[in-house]
Amino acid sequence: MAILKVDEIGSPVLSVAARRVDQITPRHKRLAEDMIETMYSTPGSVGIAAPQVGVSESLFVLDVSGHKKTNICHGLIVLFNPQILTASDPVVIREGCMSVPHLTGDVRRASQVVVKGVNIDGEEQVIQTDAFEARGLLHEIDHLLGKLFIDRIDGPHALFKRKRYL
Amino acid sequence: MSRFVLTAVGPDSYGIVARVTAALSDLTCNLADSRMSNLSGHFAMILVVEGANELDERGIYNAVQSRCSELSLLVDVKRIDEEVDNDLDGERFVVSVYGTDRPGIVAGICDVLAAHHANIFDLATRVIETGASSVYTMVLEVALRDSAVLAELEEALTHRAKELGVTCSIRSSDSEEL
Repeated sequence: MAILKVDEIGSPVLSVAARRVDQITPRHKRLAEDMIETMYSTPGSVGIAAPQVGVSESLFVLDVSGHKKTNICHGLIVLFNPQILTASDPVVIREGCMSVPHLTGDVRRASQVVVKGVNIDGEEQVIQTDAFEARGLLHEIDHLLGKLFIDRIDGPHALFKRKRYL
Repeated sequence: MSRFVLTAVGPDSYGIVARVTAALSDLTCNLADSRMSNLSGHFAMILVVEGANELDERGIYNAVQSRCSELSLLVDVKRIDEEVDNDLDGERFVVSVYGTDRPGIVAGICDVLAAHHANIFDLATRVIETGASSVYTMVLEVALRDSAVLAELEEALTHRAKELGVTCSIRSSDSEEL
């Protein structure tokens, strides 16, 4: 296990769509473990997508357990090749991201989603969720599409400076 | 490197930003920071511009005016010698104020904010015409130096709002990390 370096805005890997993973190999399992360790060791972080650690493959990890805005909670989620099946009831929340450490922004995203993907054992998984877990899924899936929250910002006055990530 | 604050205001039309920034680009200036908005039909821009040491206020002014001669822009350029590093940040809150328009709403609320060391990072006001009367709205983002005074500040704001006949609320603008 290892804590991985997180790429920041400006790094090209954050702006391209990630490749689909057709076969989950031991390398993918190690990568997922390292991403989980990196997520848990970063204060405030609830998720990491593979492009954030420099790997342009369709995989993210997410765990919103215990967050004050969490309702439905699936605990630790490791998902390959995620697809959004349905998304509804948009709400605006101010988001921060490890890959954009100097800014936060008001972003409108669905608060009810159904997402399909493949788990670490290669089995199809369908996740129906809401509130903060829905937001986390959509934020991470955006990373796999080469999108940062700045691509979804609510307008020029919705982007805010901050000194650093937490 | 030298730094300048450039302000330009004029009746809104197509191409104001394109021309002003083209003039700055010709001088190989960077826009270090900027805010631009349409205020009641006037386009207002304020920019922090960085450029070569030999640039001066007159040079920037002339370059902008020569590109924008027919736009009736009021342009001002001032050199800023050093980078300001006064730490007025703190926990961020959004303050919303609205009510029947009358003189003194902004001054009255901001006086309370200043007294509690709540530093204004952003502020926008709008007047909404609602038939018989006008409603004044103001939204601010403030940084509170000491968030322990929040309850006291909230009470003071509510009190001042009542005197002004407006409604005022304050809430955290915390971001959620993902």
